[in-house]
Amino acid sequence: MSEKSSRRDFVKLVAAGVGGVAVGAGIGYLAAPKGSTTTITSTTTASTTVTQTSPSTQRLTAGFIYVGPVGDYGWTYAHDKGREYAKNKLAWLDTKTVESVEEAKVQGAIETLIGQGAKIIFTTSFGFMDGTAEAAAKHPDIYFAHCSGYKSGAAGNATQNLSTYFAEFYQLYYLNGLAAGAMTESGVLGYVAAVPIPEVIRHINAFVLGAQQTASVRGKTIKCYVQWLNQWFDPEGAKKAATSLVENNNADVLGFTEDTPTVLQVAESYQKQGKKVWSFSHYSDMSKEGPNAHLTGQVVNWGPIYIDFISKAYSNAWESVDYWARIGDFAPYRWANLSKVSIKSEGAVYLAPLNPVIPQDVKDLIALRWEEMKELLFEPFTGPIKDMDGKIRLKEGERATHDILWNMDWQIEGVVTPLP
Amino acid sequence: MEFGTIITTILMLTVQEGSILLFATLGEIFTERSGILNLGLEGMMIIGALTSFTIVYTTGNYLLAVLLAITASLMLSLVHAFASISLRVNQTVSGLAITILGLGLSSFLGRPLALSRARVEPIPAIPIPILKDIPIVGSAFFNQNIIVYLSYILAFLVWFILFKTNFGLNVRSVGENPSMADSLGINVFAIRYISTAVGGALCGLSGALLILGYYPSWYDGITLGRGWIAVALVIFSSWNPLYAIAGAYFFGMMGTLNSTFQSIGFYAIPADFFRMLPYTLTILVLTIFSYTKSKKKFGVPAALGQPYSRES
Amino acid sequence: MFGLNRVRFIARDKLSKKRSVGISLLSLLLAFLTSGVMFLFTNVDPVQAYVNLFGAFSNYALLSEAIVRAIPIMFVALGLTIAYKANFISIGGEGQIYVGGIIMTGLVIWQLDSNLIPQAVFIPIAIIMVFFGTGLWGVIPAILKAKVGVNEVLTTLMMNYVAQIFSNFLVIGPWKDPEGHGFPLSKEFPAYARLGLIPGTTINVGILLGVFAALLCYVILSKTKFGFEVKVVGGSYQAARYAGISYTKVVCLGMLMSAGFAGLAGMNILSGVTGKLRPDFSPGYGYTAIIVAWLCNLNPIISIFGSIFFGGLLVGGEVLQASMNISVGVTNVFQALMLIFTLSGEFFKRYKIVWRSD
Repeated sequence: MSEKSSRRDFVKLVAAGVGGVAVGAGIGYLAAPKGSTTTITSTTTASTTVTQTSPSTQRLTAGFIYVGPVGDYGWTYAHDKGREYAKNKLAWLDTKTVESVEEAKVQGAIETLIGQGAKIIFTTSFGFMDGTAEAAAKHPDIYFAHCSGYKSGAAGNATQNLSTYFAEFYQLYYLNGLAAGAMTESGVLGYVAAVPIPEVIRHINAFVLGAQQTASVRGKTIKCYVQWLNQWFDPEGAKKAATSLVENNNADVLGFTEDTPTVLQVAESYQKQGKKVWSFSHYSDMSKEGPNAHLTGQVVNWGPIYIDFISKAYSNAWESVDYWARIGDFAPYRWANLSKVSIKSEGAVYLAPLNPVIPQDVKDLIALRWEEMKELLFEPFTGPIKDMDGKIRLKEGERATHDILWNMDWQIEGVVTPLP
Repeated sequence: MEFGTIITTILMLTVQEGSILLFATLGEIFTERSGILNLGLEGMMIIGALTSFTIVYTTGNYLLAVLLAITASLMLSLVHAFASISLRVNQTVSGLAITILGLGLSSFLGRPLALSRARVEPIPAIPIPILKDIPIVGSAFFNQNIIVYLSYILAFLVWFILFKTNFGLNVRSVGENPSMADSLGINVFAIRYISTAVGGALCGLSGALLILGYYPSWYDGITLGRGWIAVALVIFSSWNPLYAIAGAYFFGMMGTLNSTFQSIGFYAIPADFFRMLPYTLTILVLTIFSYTKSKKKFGVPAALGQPYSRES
Repeated sequence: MFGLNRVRFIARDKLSKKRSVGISLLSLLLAFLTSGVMFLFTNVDPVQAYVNLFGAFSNYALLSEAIVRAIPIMFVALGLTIAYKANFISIGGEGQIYVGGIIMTGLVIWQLDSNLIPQAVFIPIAIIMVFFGTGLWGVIPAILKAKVGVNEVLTTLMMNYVAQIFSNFLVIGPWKDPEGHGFPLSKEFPAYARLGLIPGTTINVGILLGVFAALLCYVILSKTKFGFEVKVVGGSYQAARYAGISYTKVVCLGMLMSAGFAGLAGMNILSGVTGKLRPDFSPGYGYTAIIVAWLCNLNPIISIFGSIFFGGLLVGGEVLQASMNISVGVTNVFQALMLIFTLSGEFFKRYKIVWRSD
């Protein structure tokens, strides 16, 4: 047993092991179907539904930068569904995505996508704004579209290859409120809110406004308690907030602006225990997450917006725009059938399927208001409206202007929880 | 809004959150009592969570899911055990590697589940008749699912094993003075392997409870740092399984106070201070118990984190 | 495994440099192969995956991004190197990043109100204040260990949470920009509080500071008396005592520097990249730095390159995602495997295997 020989043996053993693994890996590599899972290559895909007689067979690659995981079931998931929608309709389109990008790292992700051949890039979070604007200035030959921001060529504070787009939900929250007011027994609404920015404040106010309409008909007054999470994606916090609202504040309809279906799931688990708690969809149709508790909700289809941007980029018809998509925008037809109960259109924003338990007259009211808002005949924020301190914010008959909506930092009467 | 309801809600949420922490903490107490520091709890927990979710989603068999979750975490802990016990590497770094491995693997393997919006039915709560009608605490403690009930028993079981059995005595002596234990004929290596494995198994149970009890969909990184909280909890409960119950519920409660305070309109103390409290208190506890080194029964296992080899 | 009786491990007396490097390289190779096998199992082409994972090094823009991310990692890794050389296992890098960020933000906000510091010297003064301020934070676990014997792994870990929670509290509460429409962000740092870019690149000047810090660290550790004391303390507590070296002094001074460097990482992230304080602004760099410091064998100069390598890995993870739809988690798996194999390799550096052939 000489040490030298045993050490040599050991080395041989290790070398054999390494060699074995290398051979195995090599065989595996050769045997494995190459590129089987990759969805993004530059081979032409079979054209799907619509055959476009485009003059060239050139392809375009679009890059998508997400702030969260596609599996969040909420914000990012909806964007990804929009991407899929566009990809299925446009035969010449390839898409690439980068998920869970930190807001400060967006430039790196943009460079990655440009390196992968992207000619148009979508950045889907407010926090990406500055990085996107800088990248747009640096790459004048690439198109950029930023979601929920305010820097664009159209707005005059960025280069012309940058557009912004946004889907507005407060109208749909008003409709949710109509349903809520009709279904609440305790008269208390709960709202699980993400970040106290005007967008979310608008949602809450519209929700309460709608509820007040239908509740007053039934002789009830509405009170709304709000729980602020200070984060967009927070299933843990949302669960605790929703539970507290139901247990401590006696809320029986839960609205929310948070990126997951957690609040709806909490409502559903109460329904299973025999307690009538209702909630909604947010960003995408979540009715399957809460078949009993789901009343309706706001659904966004980013697809038509993406097709709009991408097609214009493809056909060199780009111009910088600032899209503020509301009810009826990007819909392929103007007049829906009023007698139809489910208000789904191929527009950018629409309602999730209505729960049959909602009384018919409320459903009709929802359908009516939908049409009126689509034609801009009805504005939920029409005076007289007071804020929670009693101050008059909108006078009798006065309609909220874009600025009032965009900068809303007050809660209406009926909301109990002050802004943080 | 009555005072009683508020307390009940706090307690109910606390028990749910605390039970998840309790399993992992009990496991790590066992491991650390034998002298092995396992910082890989977060990674093991999330692997347990992913495993349980996958099994239920594909087969619908909850028992199998729990068992496989335990197995998966256990195997991961054995990697740490091998590195720490047989190869005697730096346990801190090894544990950290396990955490990163677990987090990365679960993100990588769980992606198709996340993309397909998979969800499973959570385990139902089983209310215990009579006990659940005790005012205030009844529905908080006795209207939970079966794994939570298991946690109540397990804490006492771990305490009993550690302090009332010969095996437990061996574990503790290995953790205090391995060379003495070795000379008394105790197989230090075997004991340490077993303790680490027990820690891994319980951590897997934590992950399974998290998913099957409360979060029936898969989110990347769903454990949200609970593994690290468990590491803190072990110290906070000074390596005593019974104190761990109180500690787990205390930490669990800190997480629920934010929503409760907002409910009742109490904004005076920012919720963040309560979230910091467990960690600052842990440092305090650690300092105090290091200061009073004589209290061997409740202090840091003397050989914690130090590799043992016969030559040293 | 429990006490193999056919194989014995005998401590080596010395290890040739060549063999040591060989073992390290073998560890890395095994890590590569293992993740390659993992890719195969999940129907991913490993060669293509590796090409993409290292894509950062093939493209100028991506390489710049890799370097930008490497800077904070580098600072923390340097700090940890000092601590680990003294055998003070601090894992508090992450928290120190946050403390550095807090100090920097506080300074900026104070300056915006009072305007007392001349703009030209704002950055140098900030560097000093961040370094020593975070340094004091780092001394706490050192004193606790030296005077009371508290386990530093546990204290530094706990302090990470305290720092992160406090930072988030500040940015959501008192330090939120009143004109920020309610978003949890601080006021934007004015230009004189920002680390500018190196002209012609997208890399901020923090890299120069980082390299300078690495050289400084190297000099301190290998050329000064303090560095010698650190090594003695790191080798054996008893030996240090016999040599008359004060454990308390070495550990406290060492942690002052360690945390100070890590604090500069935090300053770099805010001043060099984000331009303002935001919640959770460190994506785990403090923990990545632990791996880097280890894998670079606690050598400050090698840490420069190690950090860039890891920065490249992080960027590569995004390239992987964009090109092959693989979750970013795969970079973590790869890092973890490298670490595990390297750690195991350490064992084989210390011990040789002897077979009993009877």
